Amino acid sequence: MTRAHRIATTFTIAAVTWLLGLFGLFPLSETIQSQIWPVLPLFFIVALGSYAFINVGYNLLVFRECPEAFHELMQEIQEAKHDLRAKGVDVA
Amino acid sequence: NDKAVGAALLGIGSFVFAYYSIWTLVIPFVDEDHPARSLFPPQWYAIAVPVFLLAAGITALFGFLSLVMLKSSKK
Repeated sequence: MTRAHRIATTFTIAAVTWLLGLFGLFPLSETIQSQIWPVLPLFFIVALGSYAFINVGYNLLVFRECPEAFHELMQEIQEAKHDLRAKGVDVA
Repeated sequence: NDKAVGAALLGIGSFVFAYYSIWTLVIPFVDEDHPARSLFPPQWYAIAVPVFLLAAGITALFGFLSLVMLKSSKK
């Protein structure tokens, strides 16, 4: 089963469950049936959006710069350019 | 500077999630005269605000897409 299949299956099951609840086929309390259940899909969309924000924000916060790797890389680029120029290749 | 952006995103995301969760899942069970209710707008806005933002966002997305496609087909 591919990833797309799994996502589509989960989504269909959730959608059908929600629609059944919407038509009163589950024994839900009055407040839940009228105020909370209909809002659930919108709530999950908002939750997904805020999860994306939190994820990106957190990773931006903890990402380490690694300056040693940066300098080493610049050094290697210089050496490679030097070698290529010596061999006659036109490099910037 | 990236860290500041990251912290801001983290803060906004957390706040929106917490506030919206309480607004939609907890407030309906709270009595009308409870002081907590004054911290949240009427339930109508709990649906209107996200729906409006979603509609505006998708409109902007498709608008941008069409602009790009028009520009590239004109060449």
